[in-house]
Amino acid sequence: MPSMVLQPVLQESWALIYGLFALSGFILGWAAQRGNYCFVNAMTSIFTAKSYERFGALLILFGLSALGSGLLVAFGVIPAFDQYYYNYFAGWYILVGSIIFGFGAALAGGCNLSMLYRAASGYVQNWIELFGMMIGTYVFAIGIWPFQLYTMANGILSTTNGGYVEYLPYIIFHSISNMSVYITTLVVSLPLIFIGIYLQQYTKRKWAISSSLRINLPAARAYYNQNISTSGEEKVSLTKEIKDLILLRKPYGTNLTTIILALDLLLVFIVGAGYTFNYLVITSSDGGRFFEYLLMLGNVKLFLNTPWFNDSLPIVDPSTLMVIMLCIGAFSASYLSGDFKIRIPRNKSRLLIGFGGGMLVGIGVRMALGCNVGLMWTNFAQLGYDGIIFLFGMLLGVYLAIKVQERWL
Amino acid sequence: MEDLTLRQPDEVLDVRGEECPVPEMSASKKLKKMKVGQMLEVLTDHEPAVHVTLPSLCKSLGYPFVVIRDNGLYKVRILKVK
Repeated sequence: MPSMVLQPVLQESWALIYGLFALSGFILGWAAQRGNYCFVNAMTSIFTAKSYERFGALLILFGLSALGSGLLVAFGVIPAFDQYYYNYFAGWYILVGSIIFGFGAALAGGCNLSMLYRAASGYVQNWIELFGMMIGTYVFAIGIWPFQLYTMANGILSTTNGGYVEYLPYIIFHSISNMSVYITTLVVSLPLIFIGIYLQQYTKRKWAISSSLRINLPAARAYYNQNISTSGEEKVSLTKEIKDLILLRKPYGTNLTTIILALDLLLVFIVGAGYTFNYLVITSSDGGRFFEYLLMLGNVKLFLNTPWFNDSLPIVDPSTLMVIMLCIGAFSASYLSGDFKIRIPRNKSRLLIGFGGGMLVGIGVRMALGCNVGLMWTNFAQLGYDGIIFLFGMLLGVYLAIKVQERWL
Repeated sequence: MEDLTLRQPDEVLDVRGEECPVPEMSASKKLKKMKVGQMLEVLTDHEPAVHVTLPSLCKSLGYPFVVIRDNGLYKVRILKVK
């Protein structure tokens, strides 16, 4: 039976560990803000703009994360235990939860990453979404969690264990040897990267065809004769491009942000190895727990007698610090680039929709045992399969939300 | 480029304060109702809409567009050509 014993890999001081987690959160917030990185946006673009550019980037992100963490394990740098420790149970709740999450996030206007960095950039709708998520977490905790826990404990449409049981090298080879991890890593990561690149190229080819067809249309030709530029893009030198990125005049490109985020996940994976929090296990549980912290001010202690909250983590741990630093990183990037601004939707009903969407986000992420970051993205790096279920569930939820909004909003 | 920046828009869509997917969804709806040769101006302060979703929509549809930054507000002008 594979090991379930903690073995810290790097003997850093706690101050250094907390410092590196803080740095990682800052990088996550900064890069996501500068790159306008949003998991929901990547999926809504498929249905609203017929673009796979951002969705392709997501697959590349998952592939790079799986490749990096898998190779670190396969070559013996990090023990396999650290890769599978946080693989949770799998079951009906991941599929249902991810559909609810995708639906709510597309209504509210942000996934768990973009909700936080946009809230820090002045989007009032995302403040409301965050509050809705806190309430949704509480609703889940008292209304759904006891039932879900029962099904998990009794194996009703659920596995009854996590860890190596959910680890693809173990599922495929019944082994966690370096070679089994190595082969699984390549099998999982390379197709994701290639499909992601293909989808991006496919979208660019489609755009090129749309552009060339347009020239043959009489209405377009008339405008072309007046020297109208069409794409909104101008060719610039690499030096100017780099200068603009450093001086925050331009947002980061999709794939640059993807690479930064993948490296950030690997930083956390290495720094936290042996301490059991070596992933981006953040945003949703901390977002929900802020409600618990708020109630503590009124001497209400949910962790004493409320299901889910009494299993939650200490009030300040590296992941909480990471969420706070994510917001600080996003605020810094937003403020320094001149993008920061308090934004209130002109249509005030959006605030109500944001709250409702946020509640669904809170319920969905708790039901799925994690959000698009802490469960989906992380689980690809864990070489598990929960992330794959979450990906399809979230896509379905986002699609349904788009259809609802197109029809009624 | 010059023509799109100087010309008066035929329709204006004000989605200030709104986030994805609202700007691109509303723009797409509005464009469907407009005639060929007309220009839509989308007013937004949402960077992802300016840098990601509206350009993607325009490129997919094959519509020329320009982005004008005006004191923290973006005007994305889209010409319906087919």
